[in-house]
Amino acid sequence: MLHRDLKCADHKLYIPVYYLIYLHMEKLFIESEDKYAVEAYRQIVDYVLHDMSVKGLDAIHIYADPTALFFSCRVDFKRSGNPLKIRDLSTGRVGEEDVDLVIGEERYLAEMLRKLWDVYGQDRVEQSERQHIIVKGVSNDADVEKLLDVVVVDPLKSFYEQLITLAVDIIPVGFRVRRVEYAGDSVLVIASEKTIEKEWIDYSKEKLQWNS
Amino acid sequence: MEFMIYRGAPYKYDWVIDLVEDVGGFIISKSMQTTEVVIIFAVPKEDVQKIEEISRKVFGDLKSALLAGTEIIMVSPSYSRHHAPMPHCGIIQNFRENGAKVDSLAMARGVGLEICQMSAMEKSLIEEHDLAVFLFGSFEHCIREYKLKMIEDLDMPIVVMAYPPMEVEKSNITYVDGLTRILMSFRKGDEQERLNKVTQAVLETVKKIKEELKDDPLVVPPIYLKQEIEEQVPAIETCLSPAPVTLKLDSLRIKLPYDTYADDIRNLHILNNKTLTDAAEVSQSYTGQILVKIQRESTAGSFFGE
Repeated sequence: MLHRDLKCADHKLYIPVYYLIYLHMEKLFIESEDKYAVEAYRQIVDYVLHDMSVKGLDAIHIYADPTALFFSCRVDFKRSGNPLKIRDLSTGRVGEEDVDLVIGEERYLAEMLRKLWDVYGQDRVEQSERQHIIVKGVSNDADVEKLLDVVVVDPLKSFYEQLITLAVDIIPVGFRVRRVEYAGDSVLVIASEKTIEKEWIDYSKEKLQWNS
Repeated sequence: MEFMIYRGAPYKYDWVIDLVEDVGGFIISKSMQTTEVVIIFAVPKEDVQKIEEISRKVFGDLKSALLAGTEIIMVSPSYSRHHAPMPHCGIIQNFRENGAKVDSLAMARGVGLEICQMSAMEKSLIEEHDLAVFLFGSFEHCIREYKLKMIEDLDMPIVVMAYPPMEVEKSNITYVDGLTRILMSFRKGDEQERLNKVTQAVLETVKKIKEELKDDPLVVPPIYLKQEIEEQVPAIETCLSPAPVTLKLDSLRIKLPYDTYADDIRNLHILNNKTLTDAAEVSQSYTGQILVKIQRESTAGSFFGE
């Protein structure tokens, strides 16, 4: 008979309450003359990442001069996921004067309809059944290819927005004038409470090794 | 008098209230949520044991309320995601658990280096409280050059918390390091320790104010005036605020419109055939409420001696 003696419970099994949630981000580079500010920003970034749960981040570089009126932050990421086209979401049956799109993935139906309305106009696009969208006036091969290549969802676009939100959460609240630059796999945000000067942009680009 | 907090189920909580009133104590506030009753009260020191016995009988939890009877204001530079709800509300919650009445204020232009400023309205609002707690950032230069200069006009006890360890020379400012706009919920790791540091600083400041009050005591205790007001001004029941009469260390805030009720409050009868105007000054707060500032014995003379 199984008997469980509570007094002999193995104490090692208990998960300690005191654990650190730090070190979410291994590649975090902060440069500042104030050493306590570096420490503080390490914690701020860790907690913000814990709160936002952005996936696919590679590195964060921060440059903050305590006496200057600007703060710059560069976020690098790993590219993942291709843009979803109509070709990936449906199969096209070419008729005499129209194309019948048979939808396999219903999750993006709303975005797909909206996109088709934008491109072809509402009078030419018709959803006759739940899984069929008919696009009128498309019949020759070149036009069908063009239709199937329309991009429905671009994950990169929303990812850029997420990265800027992350950078804005890291940047001090008072710095409301912002300049955002994109290049390949990274985003650079320079923020200030005054009009951003050209020198600051050049200086922070040099500090954060920004080349574009 | 000993300030205490009782937490427990609604089952027979009125036994506790009855006993507090029987031994000559005062109920400061009573809040009843669905499954929990929280009562803040004051009892004479020799009767604490009786309250402990009865709370054990009804399975309640009794804790001493170290900050009861104080009105604190917590000031953050902004209400953006950087400061609220965390850590701003976490810190407030901690003070409330210790029995304090806490107001929350986010400044309109409290952020930034050269652009930060405190308006006259904010200044007068903050100065109505016993103690102000400020939350600042992580750069020493910013705090020393701009933020401390912003609050230097305030003539009241202040607790400032920010990240870098540094020394502040002004006598009314207590500086606490290690806490800034980090999104912490004060549950894990060393977060609770950091929060306790702030609570300790606030407790010490309150202790200092209380010691000053002992040298030149108030003519009547604020808690006694509160009871008299609740008995003699029936309009207090129309006030929807959770604490219609708020206790402060040396005064009271009555949440009724000044223009209508100021005269009623002035003509209030207190002990020895005296009215409230003999013991206190009635004035208007910034938001149109009534402030009752109790006089010290050095100006009004003792009410009990002679």
